[in-house]
Amino acid sequence: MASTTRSSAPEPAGNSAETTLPWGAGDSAPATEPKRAHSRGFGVGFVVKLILMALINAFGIYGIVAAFGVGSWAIAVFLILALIAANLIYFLPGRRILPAKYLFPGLIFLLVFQVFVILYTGYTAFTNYGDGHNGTKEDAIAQLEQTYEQRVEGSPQYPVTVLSSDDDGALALATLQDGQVLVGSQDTALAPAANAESSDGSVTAVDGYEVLDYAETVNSPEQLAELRVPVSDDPADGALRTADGSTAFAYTPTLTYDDGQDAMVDADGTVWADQGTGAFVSPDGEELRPGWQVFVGFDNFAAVFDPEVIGGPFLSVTLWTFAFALISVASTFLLGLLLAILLNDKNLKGRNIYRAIIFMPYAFPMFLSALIWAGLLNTDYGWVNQVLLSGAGVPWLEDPWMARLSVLLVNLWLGFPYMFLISTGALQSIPEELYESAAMDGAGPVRRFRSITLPMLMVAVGPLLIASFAMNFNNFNVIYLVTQGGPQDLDSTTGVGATDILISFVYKIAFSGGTNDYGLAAALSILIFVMVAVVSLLTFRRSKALEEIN
Amino acid sequence: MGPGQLRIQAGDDEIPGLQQIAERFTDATGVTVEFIQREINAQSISDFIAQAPMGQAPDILISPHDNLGQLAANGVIASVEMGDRGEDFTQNALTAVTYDGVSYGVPYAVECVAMVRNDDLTQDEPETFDDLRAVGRRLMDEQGLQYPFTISQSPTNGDPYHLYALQTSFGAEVFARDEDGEYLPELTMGGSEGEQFANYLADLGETGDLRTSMTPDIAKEAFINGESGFHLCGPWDLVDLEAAEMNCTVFPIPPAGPEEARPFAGVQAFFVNANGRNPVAAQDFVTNWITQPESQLALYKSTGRPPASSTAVEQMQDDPWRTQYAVIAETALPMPAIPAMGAVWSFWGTAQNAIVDGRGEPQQLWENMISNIEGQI
Repeated sequence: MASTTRSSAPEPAGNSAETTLPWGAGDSAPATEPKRAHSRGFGVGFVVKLILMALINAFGIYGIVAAFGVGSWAIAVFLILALIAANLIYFLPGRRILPAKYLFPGLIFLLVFQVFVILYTGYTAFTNYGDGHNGTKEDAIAQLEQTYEQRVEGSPQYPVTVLSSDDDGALALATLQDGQVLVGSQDTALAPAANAESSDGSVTAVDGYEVLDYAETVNSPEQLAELRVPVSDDPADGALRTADGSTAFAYTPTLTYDDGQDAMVDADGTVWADQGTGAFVSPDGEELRPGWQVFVGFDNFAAVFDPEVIGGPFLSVTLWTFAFALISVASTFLLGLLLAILLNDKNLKGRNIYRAIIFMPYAFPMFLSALIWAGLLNTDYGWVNQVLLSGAGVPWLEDPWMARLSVLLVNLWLGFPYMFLISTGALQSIPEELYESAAMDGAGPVRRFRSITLPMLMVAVGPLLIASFAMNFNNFNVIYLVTQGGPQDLDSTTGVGATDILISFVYKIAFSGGTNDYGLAAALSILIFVMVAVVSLLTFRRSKALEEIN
Repeated sequence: MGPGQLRIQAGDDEIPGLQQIAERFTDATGVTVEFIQREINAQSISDFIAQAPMGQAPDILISPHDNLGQLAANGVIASVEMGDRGEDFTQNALTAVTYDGVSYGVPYAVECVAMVRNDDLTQDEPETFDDLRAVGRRLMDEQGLQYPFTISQSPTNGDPYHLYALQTSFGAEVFARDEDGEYLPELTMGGSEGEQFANYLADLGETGDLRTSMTPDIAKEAFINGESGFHLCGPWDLVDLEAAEMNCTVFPIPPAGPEEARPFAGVQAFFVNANGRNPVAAQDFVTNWITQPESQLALYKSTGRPPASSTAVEQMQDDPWRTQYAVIAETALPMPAIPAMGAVWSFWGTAQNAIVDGRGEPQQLWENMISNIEGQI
């Protein structure tokens, strides 16, 4: 925003006068103009700013209203504060808030996309959020009561009409039985209605009630969900409930919530109590589903080291993850650098064509390449075995060590063009004079490479190598698309495979097999983050030392 | 206030058929229908579960029934009582949408795998799986075919789904079932039945009749190219066989063991969001509209999946292949939707692969698998 208002600064004539027409400098405007905030006058810049701020305010207020509408208080408060801050920062005069004008948009994005995500991950790591613990306790109770109603055996299907009482608007159900209209409501059982009309097998009018049409029926879902009309005075006959507003069935409840003991009570008297684990638990330890979300303290972190859960393979997977990331960075960098040096010779004809060809793997979508590689490495039908090795039957993806080699090779193929690119750029930025003076001092090619090329290169490329390490440490895509972490260790109950890196292992533990455990996944993500952060910090220190040599 | 809107999450092949049903529905009720096109996979199910408590998820979700256990355990779908309207459905379809004694959905298709024969290559009708292998071998010798039969496998995960009919023919069903046909979390794949199947798998691998590296594409292509006389597949492969104008017959998978070979049945069903914005209209749509035979036929026409309604199946005379699939599906076993199945899938396929590839002693590998799965349950 700042740049747009600047380029359309008011009084352009004054500016140009200063630069191109020195005799116009007598006018005082050019001297004071840069100091004045260009948006405080009523020029084009101010109008642009006003429009943009109006849009931001409109958008923000819409967001606040919407957030209040769905009861998201935290989002509403955040939006209110952000909107007030935005207006203060961009409309208050004074030079001291000038930096804030530049920083504010970035800060907002930082809060939304980084800080919030990190805090939410941290919060989730201490909860049991996952399958079976999805919502709130109220939701779970409502769902359990709704679901565990048993249809009375042998009871018929009742075609019903939804009515609304003229007195208090409470809902009631009417049904036709042998030409007789029966009406019942929450507290009164079905009974013949005195003045009622019906036609074509449906009730059209009942004295004291209004017959609801389709729209009115579907618009009262909460009342309809709670409405139970006793079939008779005998509770064993059940109560009518309608889900679609036109057909009802007689149900008897099998699970009811008891406020007093905060427990669900079964029809046969079993008490499922809330013992703080986020579910109702029976005396013999069985849990009712759905449960709800609760805090579980450090349980998720403890599971990481529990040999029964993932403690067993955790160490070997961590080692392989480090090996995979380090070898991937080293191999891609060495190959990329080698090719970059080879193609850096100005005398080489058509080197741009070679460069373009080398860059090709990077231009293909990575998902496509990885999947194609998985097909190429198929033991019986893959192109590598069939054509290249004339039917050798090498178990590329089936043998643990071959599979590890395969993912490293695929990752090399995917990754070296990037390293080639950054190395080429860095090589070209090394001044030619350094080499000339080194040659004059009698340094040979190896010495020149070691003492000039490599240090100069590492200053530029070092941070990128660290970033590449962090990326490969979590390179889920390559592992998942090529081997899915396999071949699986048949002796382990965790389902861990030979090529599983931490992130794919986390995915297996927390999400595969149709059960999601977000709490555990969040705890493991935090551990992975700590590892990557420590390694990055240490290497950044080293690359800083490199910079000082320069 | 109008009757509002229904939001339905469906796959791209279901939407054309649903649009016809939705048009009639809107004419009769005034409820407008919006479609959210999304394929069902683990991610889209997880998203539905995460969004539902916030009231953000669609009112109706179409999903294979094996996700039912997960959806029900999270309390995000409402019970759906079909009552008399369910009488037209096959028993398998009804059992599949029942979880823990509660009915949760309205089925629209039942799918299972069967054996497809290329009639131009052979007219044999093998009685047992060994007969089929013998016929396949003879065709290889006589007509130079590449494979005795083709079947979809996966080199990384295995494919117990396609092999399940062979396993049940030895009597080794994955879980015990109660008297209503509902699965109990009690593994029954072990014992001598399981061991016999493991030995049979090892034999299939040793002879090269079954290869773990035969991915779905390779299997289908080979059959279409006339490189094999028999293809074990689901109705989803039929579109490509029709496009290739093949002359085929569909028949049940011949048993390898002493019992009937019963494949898994996968049921596609409509589920209603428990916290949807328009729950009454959603219940009305699935129980009163999707249950109609003409709706089932409309969905069959747009998806090519054999319908779950018997009346609709009777109206498919011009489609002998899919009619045959629908008939076979009636004796198939619904895929378990209980959470314990998640533990089974991850070990089952890899153990089968290890046996077929000869990476160890078959019975030992099978026993390891059983104890690993039991450890997870």
